[in-house]
Amino acid sequence: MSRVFRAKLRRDVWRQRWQFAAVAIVIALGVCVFVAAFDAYRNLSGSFDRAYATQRLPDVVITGPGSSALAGDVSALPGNPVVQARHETETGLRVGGHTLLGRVVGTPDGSQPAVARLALRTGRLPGPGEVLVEQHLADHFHLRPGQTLGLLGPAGWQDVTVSGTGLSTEYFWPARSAQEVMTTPDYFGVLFAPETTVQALSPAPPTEQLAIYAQDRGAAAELVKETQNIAAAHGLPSATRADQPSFHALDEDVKSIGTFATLLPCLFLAAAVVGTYVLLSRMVAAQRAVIGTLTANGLPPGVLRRHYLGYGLVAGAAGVAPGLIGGYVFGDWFTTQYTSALGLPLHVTQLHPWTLVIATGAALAAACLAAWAPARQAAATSPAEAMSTAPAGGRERRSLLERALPPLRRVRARWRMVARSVTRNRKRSLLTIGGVAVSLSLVLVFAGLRDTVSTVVDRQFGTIQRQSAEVTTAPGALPSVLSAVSADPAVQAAEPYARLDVSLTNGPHRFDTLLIALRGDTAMHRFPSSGGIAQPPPRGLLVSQGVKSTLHLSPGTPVTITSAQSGRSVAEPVVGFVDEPMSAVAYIRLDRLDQGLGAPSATGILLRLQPGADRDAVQARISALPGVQSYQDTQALASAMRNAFSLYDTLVGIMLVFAAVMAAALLFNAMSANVAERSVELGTLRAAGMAPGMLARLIAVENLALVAIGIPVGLLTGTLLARWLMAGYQTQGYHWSLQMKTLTPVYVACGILLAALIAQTPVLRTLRRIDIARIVRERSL
Amino acid sequence: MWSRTQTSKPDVATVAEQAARSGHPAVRLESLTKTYGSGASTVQALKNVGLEIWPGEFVVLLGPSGSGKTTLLNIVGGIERPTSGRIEVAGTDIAALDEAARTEYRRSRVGFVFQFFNLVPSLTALENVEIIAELTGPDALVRSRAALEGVGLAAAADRFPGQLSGGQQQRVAIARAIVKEPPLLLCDEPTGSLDLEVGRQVLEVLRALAREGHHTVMVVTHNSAIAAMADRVVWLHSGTVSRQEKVASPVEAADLWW
Repeated sequence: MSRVFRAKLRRDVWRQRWQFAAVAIVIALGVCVFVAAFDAYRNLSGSFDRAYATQRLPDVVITGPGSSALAGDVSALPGNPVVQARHETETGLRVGGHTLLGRVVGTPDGSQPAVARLALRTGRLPGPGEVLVEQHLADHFHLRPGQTLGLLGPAGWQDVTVSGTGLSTEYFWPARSAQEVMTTPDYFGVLFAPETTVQALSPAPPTEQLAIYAQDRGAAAELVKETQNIAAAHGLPSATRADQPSFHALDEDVKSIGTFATLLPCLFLAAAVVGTYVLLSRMVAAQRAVIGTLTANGLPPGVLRRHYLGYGLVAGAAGVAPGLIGGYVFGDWFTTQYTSALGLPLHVTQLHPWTLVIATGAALAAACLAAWAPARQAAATSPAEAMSTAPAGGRERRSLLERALPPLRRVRARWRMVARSVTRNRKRSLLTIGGVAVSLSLVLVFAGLRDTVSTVVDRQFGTIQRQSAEVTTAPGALPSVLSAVSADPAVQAAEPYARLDVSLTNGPHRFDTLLIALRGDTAMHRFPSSGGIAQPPPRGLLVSQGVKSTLHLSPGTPVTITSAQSGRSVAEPVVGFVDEPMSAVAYIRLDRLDQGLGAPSATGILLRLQPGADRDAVQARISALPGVQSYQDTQALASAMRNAFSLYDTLVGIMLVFAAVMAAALLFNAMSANVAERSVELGTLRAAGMAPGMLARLIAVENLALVAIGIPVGLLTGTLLARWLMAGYQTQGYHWSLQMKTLTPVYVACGILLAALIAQTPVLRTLRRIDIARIVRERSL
Repeated sequence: MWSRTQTSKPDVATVAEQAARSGHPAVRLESLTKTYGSGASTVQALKNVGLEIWPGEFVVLLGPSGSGKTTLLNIVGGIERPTSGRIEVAGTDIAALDEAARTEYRRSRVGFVFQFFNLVPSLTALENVEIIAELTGPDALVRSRAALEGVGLAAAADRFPGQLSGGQQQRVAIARAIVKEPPLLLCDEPTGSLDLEVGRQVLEVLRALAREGHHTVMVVTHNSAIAAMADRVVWLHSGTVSRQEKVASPVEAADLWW
């Protein structure tokens, strides 16, 4: 590009610096979001992968009696496997005055397990009479080495000493099961203890497991497949990493970040393309006479094309640098916050050069794409056309609205001008509407996800689960505990229930889940969408929609239920299906439980409190009862779930700001182009005595009309996008559909409207300061 | 003094006749100066200009580029403010008016006609007139139709500017300027974009507006041929009035040649 053209480019950019800045801001947002999300995705993936490799997260775990005996067979499989036999049990845990459910996982005495190693944060590995406390539990109760805990064994409560605290890759997210991903440390915690301790704590044989890890990572998939075959041949269930609750939950989270890393930047860059196109097409139109003169003097079209493409590159480059810096900072912050919340022992936050290269390339490509059409138009401008003073004829006509509603032709001429101006430059109007729709969609996606989570939690804990709390009792203690609980004046109702870890099988299809056994006349649970069935049926199962689709069930299908603890099986027909968004479980009547599964008749109590009861006091009283292993307050659990998803509130807030900035930038550019294009006629109206306030109102209404059209488009596209994203949440038997609250679209629309009003301010101020004397002597273009 | 609120439309004819009988000029400029810029880049567009324009006069302001004729027109029209001096229109010094009052002044007292017509392309001929008529009183539609009829374009009322010739567009611009019946009609190179025949037609319309006594017409042009049809010609040079001349026998627009 010649020196003169470079000077022209510089000065043109400076003259319209605010419009170029607006485009650069949108590009910067797109680059920032991409770098932040993609780097967070890669850093988190890297952090987890490093932890899983260092601590040897099992590739597969065989569960059930006799699983340890398969160690020899598994060790001979390809993949250079490492195996570790272990037992685990669940029992009561007392920390201070607090009783909760503790899962005790066996480890070698005083040494690291070969698989599922522990990352020590304080202290040392446990010896006899000691436990290592999982870090989340330790942090919640401020446990340190040397402190004492109580564990409920067959002989009653016994004290154990905390040897240290640490992290296990199997409990980065300390879920009790795949169906109980959300728990609170007040209800459930994990401890690691020598095998002898685990055996001593269990009145019944503890759950036996064989954990396997492939040292040859390339052969891990084959090892898993072969292991599963061996397990199946012995009638034992096996669970891969994908089935592991913590791994699955975190993997889904990271994958969703990856999805957003692709989706969000596309939205921002699409908006940037719109803004850049509007800006440059207006510039080319305004410089038509100049272009015509240059081409009349023999300037090659290619030079013009490159010159106007250069404007796009300038806009792109201006946005890339701040976007890269912002993205790196934001991504680092996000990764740090996320891993700190999980207590990951190490996190990876490194600069990924390819992320920067891709982000830069995408931003510049978007800007050039936007500049391509105006640049081509400039290059194709004929000298004769450019120097013509006659305005384009035959294109102006009454607006669609006027033609559809003839009475509108009688409104004041100034409002007819506004109506027609909306479609005066159809391409620009459509792009502006598109930009508004994109901005709105962006916010609506996150707002919709947040609303869905909130609605689902409210439904699960308000409508479906009717109990105030769940109490787990030690074997044999249920009758006395139930009697005491029922007699508590704060308790309105109490009934026994059972919860079992089972496998459900329908032919070749298998699903590990929970079997919940309730009384036939239970008042603690509602069964939505169960085809009129309000209670657990006298015979057969009610299963959730998630289980139905996983096992390909229909009413009457016989399902084999296998107890994970006893290994025994029984068959029951499916009677109906329930619509429970947060649990992929099966329900059975309590009195059918002991028919073949070798399970106790009840494992706990569901209770409902009197209105206004002191929940903390009741929890303290009941937790202190002999035989109580844990007390789970339903409200506390619901709060924990809401807190866990509170990140969505932050993301909605961030996206609202980003989207508002994007909408404001696009509208500012569109309005600037609109006013610049019509400066002569607007100046003439001012010269003829139209007050600046009236003119500003007309222009404001015109621009807000575009926003008003864009809003319903954005609401529709945003809703569809949110629905599509929500469909990805249908895993592990969970079934969620978008549940947007009624007022959410209103709030989001208002936010975008506010951004539009703010974006108008500088342009309307320019309108008021219009130099009438100069403008009215310019040629209209 | 022009207030911010819309006042009732004045009886312009009465004002013009009264001004003529009483000897009051329609426009009086006293020691008018206009300076742009400051320091080394100061440009004095008008230097101590004094001038009187009488009601119903058709005055042509002639001068080369940079002589100050457009600046003078802008100041009389309330688009620009003089740096110093006094400009009286119907007894009021409009140089002292604030922005809102000047807007009101332009709305009720001045009509503009520009070289490039400056019509709103998305409005029909009638609507281009109507949008201004709405600013100055009721019955905007009726008055707009009358104004278009007055310039001979009643049949083209529903056509858009793109469907009109240059001459027709300029006549629409004239109708727009006169629909509010301003005492002053200020025209900046009204024939600058038109050929001879069409230019004559436009000038004929402007002359008729002055002759009927309703409007005082000031035409800025660099085309000295138009001076022959004026009542008076004012020459400007380097920001001052170099000479004025009454035209003893103004010719008809149809007899002009350039």
